[in-house]
Amino acid sequence: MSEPVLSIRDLHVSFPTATVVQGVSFDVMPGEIVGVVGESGSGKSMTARSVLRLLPKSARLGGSIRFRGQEVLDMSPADIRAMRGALVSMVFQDPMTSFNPVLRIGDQIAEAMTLHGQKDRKTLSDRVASLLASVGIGNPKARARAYPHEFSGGMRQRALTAMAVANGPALLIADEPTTALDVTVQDQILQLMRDLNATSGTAILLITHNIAVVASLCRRLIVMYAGRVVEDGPTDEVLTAPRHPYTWSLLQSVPRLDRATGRLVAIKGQPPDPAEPLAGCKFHPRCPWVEERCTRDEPPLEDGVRCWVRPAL
Amino acid sequence: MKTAATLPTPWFAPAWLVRFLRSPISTVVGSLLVLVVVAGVILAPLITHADPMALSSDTLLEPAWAHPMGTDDLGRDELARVLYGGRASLVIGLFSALLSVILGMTIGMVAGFFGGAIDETLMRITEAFQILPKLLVAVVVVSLIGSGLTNEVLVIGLLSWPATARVIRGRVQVIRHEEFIAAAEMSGASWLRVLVRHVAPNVVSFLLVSASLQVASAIMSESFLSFLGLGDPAHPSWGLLLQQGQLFLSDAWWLTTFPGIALAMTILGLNLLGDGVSGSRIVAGSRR
Amino acid sequence: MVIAVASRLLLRRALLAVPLVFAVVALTFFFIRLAPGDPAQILAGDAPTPEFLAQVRAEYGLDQPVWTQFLAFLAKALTGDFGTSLYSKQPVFAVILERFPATVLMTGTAMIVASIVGILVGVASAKRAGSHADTLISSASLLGYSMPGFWVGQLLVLLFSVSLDWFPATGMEAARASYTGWRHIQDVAWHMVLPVTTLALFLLTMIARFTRAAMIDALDQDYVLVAEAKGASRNRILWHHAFRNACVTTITVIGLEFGAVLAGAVVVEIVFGWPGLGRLFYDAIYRRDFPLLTGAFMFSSLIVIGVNMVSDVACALLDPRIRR
Repeated sequence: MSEPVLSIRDLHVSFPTATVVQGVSFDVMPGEIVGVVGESGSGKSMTARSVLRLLPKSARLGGSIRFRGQEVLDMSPADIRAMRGALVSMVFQDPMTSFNPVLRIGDQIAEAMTLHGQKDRKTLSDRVASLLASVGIGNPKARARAYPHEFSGGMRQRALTAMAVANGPALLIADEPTTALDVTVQDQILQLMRDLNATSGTAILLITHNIAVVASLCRRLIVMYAGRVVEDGPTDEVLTAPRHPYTWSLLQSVPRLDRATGRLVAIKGQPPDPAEPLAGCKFHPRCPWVEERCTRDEPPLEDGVRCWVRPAL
Repeated sequence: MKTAATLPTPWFAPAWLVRFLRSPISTVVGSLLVLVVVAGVILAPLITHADPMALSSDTLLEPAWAHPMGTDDLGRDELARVLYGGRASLVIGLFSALLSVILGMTIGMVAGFFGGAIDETLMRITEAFQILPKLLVAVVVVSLIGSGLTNEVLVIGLLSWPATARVIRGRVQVIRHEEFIAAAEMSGASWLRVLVRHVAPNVVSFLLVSASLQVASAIMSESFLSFLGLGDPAHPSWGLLLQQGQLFLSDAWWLTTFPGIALAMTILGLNLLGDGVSGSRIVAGSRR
Repeated sequence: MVIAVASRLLLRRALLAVPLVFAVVALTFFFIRLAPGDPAQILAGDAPTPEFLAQVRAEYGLDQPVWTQFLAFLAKALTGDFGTSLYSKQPVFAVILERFPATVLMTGTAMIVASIVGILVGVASAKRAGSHADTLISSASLLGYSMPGFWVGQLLVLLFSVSLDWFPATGMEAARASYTGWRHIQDVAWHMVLPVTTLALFLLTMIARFTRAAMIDALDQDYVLVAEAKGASRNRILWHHAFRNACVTTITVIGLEFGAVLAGAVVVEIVFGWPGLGRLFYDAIYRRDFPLLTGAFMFSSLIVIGVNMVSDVACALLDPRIRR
């Protein structure tokens, strides 16, 4: 088996008021598409941003994040900058606000390459045009001169994806890439990611709260709850035979899985407040199978599930 | 927090004082500054027995015990002139701010409420007024129609409304489509009644901020006019004292220093107050 | 390309400025009519000879109906004929042009200094928003904003001229020596230090405050995070990404407050005896030279309108969303 491209071990992210990620561990293999699912506040975005060290200054990081065997948490600022956008890149949630409104789309895509050493203008403009063409934007030479407000939301998300893969990264982190888009555009973006993965072998870490997105794209699925991984396994197994009560209730709240419109509806009760410590399994106040020890000790992540009870679901 | 509220407050720290001291530092400092100035100006006769207009042969005396702020070229006590001069500055500031706020509120409400062509026209006029150099307009008008408290108040008030109008218009546009407005219109109330009874109460809180900053700006404008020799000689304001100080700049530092401190203290206090009340920081530059 | 866009924008803004110019002239006319007494007397001074009064009356058509008078006034104003100065008996326009360069020199220098320093201070302050240094800078700029410009000038004179005798207090050049060439430039620069500092301080506090607010806003945007994720350095994010957006606010503010800047220049010129437009205003008020006063007012207003036009165009060039 080959070396994982990304290896996270016992990651902790804490702010002065609360710990938002606690003991997250997982690997991403080269060329793999991994989905991370969870409600907002589950720590999934914080985990993703830790990989590029894009957290607010007040954040404290613990544990280990290894990219191709190199420890990200020990890197110098210059090394981190050299990694960002070149080896690991990121697509953000809102395409409407992710582009700088006063700079041309083409220049912003080119910047991703100039920041990593490509200075030749001819090469840059050719590369920008071929990137835009590759994400399905017609007349790329002319469109590169456009400003963000002249692009539709779907086009911006395509351009954003083009920008993210400009340097042929080994890992692409997509943080809710389709949330702000309407359904038909969502499908186009997902197809785009699938193609990228197939043609260039880029590993993708897909952060989402939309199970339908994961189901269509990812082979592996990680479910997060209250800053912890609660279930980790192959997508079809997790979706058809969930082993953690939280995953089960997530799936219960999705009306039809075969229709790609499944969104999470809130499960009964509220996720725990990260600022207030809660003993035992973090899901126990909302869990139908709660037992006495669930309220006392936190279960470990064993065999891809973090649960004492493991009810037959 | 809960226990603190139920404790009986001692006589020297009544609840309102505690609440005041807990408000943002800018509000506390601002209100103290304004309070000191207003108290000094109102209580002027208790602070000094000197007459601000009484001439004497003790001309251009340095500050000393008998004249804490010295005397001017005609032997008048500078402390008395600063204290009484504040009356002119504050009165002009207050009344012209009042005028500009009323005007700005009316124009802003009408523009925001009716929208369309009325809004478009009023906003073009507002923009034109914002671009025009208002202090220079004031200079020309006051030179032509003559100085005097009333004229100064009118000119400054009539030129200073655009900022208020824009703020109020924005606010009215927000609440324009809320249900209680629609309900009032549906029940057959005239537009005037809707504006006065339903819209106005909802924008008044914004006026508090605007008013405090408007008073500061009006006092500044008045000092500008007075410094150019367009003040009312019968009611010498701080600006007028500074104009006089300019003539003796190299001989009598006290004639510029003290009126200037009073002026800056007042304006700073009012700006801080507006800053604290708005919650948005003028310090940070979010003035518009 | 840029030049084509700029000239198209400039043309459009110029068309928008026409009503404004018209309004300024109309206002001036209205003010003269507003004044108590005979407008001819206002334009002819306090104690004119009957012949001169008749000449002014004929010149402005004051015996004609108001509309004819206004058109005559407008036609004259638009051709740069602002009348004759009562004091110097010279055409007002010529008197203004003679004084104008001194004002441009002082105001221009102050604007350049204030823009550079104000932007640097504002950006530095926004970079460390909430820190002690930021609070200190913000408080200092509120204090600066609360002090009348002429008083700051007076304090500078008291400190640096009267007490320390480092810089000259008044004038634009040494009165007794008539320097030429390089020495003359040095002399003028020496005289400029205090007035330019005074005017720049006023502008600087304003620019720093608005730049800071706009930068904080810009640094909070998603595109900054995206740029960071691309591997951009802190400085590149600050200047290339955030400041490109924030400077639109800064330029708009400079444009909108330019009237206040000119008014500030007027009082600063009076404090420092600088022989520019401001001094002209003061003399005109003092001598009740109304043609000169109204002429200087119209001239300054046109400058203000022009600066606003330029700042509008600059904003549109910097921000494609405004371009239409």
